[in-house]
Amino acid sequence: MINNLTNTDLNLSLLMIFKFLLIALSAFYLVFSFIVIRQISIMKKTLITPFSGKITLLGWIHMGFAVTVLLSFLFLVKP
Amino acid sequence: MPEIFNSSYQAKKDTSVNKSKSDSKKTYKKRRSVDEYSEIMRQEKTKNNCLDPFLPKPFKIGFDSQMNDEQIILVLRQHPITLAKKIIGILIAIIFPLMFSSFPFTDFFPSSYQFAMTLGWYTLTLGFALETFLVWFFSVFIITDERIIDVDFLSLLFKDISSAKIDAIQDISSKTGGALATVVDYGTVYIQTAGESTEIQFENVPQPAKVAAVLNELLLEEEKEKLEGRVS
Repeated sequence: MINNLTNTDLNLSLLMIFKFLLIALSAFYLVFSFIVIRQISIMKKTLITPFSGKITLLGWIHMGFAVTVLLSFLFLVKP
Repeated sequence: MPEIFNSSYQAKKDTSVNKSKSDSKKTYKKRRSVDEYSEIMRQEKTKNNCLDPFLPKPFKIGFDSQMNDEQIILVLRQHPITLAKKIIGILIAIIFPLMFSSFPFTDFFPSSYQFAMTLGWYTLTLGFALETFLVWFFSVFIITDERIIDVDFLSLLFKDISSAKIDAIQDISSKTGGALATVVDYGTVYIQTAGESTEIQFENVPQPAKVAAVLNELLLEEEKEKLEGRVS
């Protein structure tokens, strides 16, 4: 059966495994970006400054990036 | 008849209560602002730029355990020059993929994979830059007229806060080492306390000698308060 597998099939399955790994990593990164937002809200309570609003915005931009990456890995990456 | 039922005793007691109330008000009034007893802080102007690593008498900054009448005298952060290595690393990470026509060492992947990897690389770089900034921004050393507070965010997930009352300070010293630290004037202030955590360090803060001098002035003022009975 192995003999029936062509080089293209092997490449395709390797690419699929790699795509799955990329999606898993980006999903973990999305969780991390959510933790960052939670941590920012804790940090904001520890030190109260007028700059805190902008820092929250930075956290949301970061999470937006993480979502974009996950979506691009899901839909744009094609073997 | 017991004295407590005597109206004159009651009147006397009321007078003494009122007197002690007015005394406490007087004690509150007697509390001096930092400019009255600190020669160094008198020369410092109030700053409101939150990103400044040396913030004397900030009036728009507070912290969670701050008491109502507690006045912040100085807010310190590590000198930005101590972030130089990380900033250079971030800049290299930004430039690195731009130096190649495709994402390096991935020529054998289809173009959609190469695009995804470039996107992933920049997201990781953004994450690292954000973490570096947040840890630097929120790791502060606060000096108030009552105590010193060291807020350390070791990473985004670990935080360590230690504080000590000014009158628990036993010894203050500052240390500046290296050519860069001497030129830019940053160093570490070591504060020995009588509390549970015996040493608090203000690491790599700007103008360490000035910080140590301010702490000495605060310590002297605290001793004067005790002698003059102005202890709040």
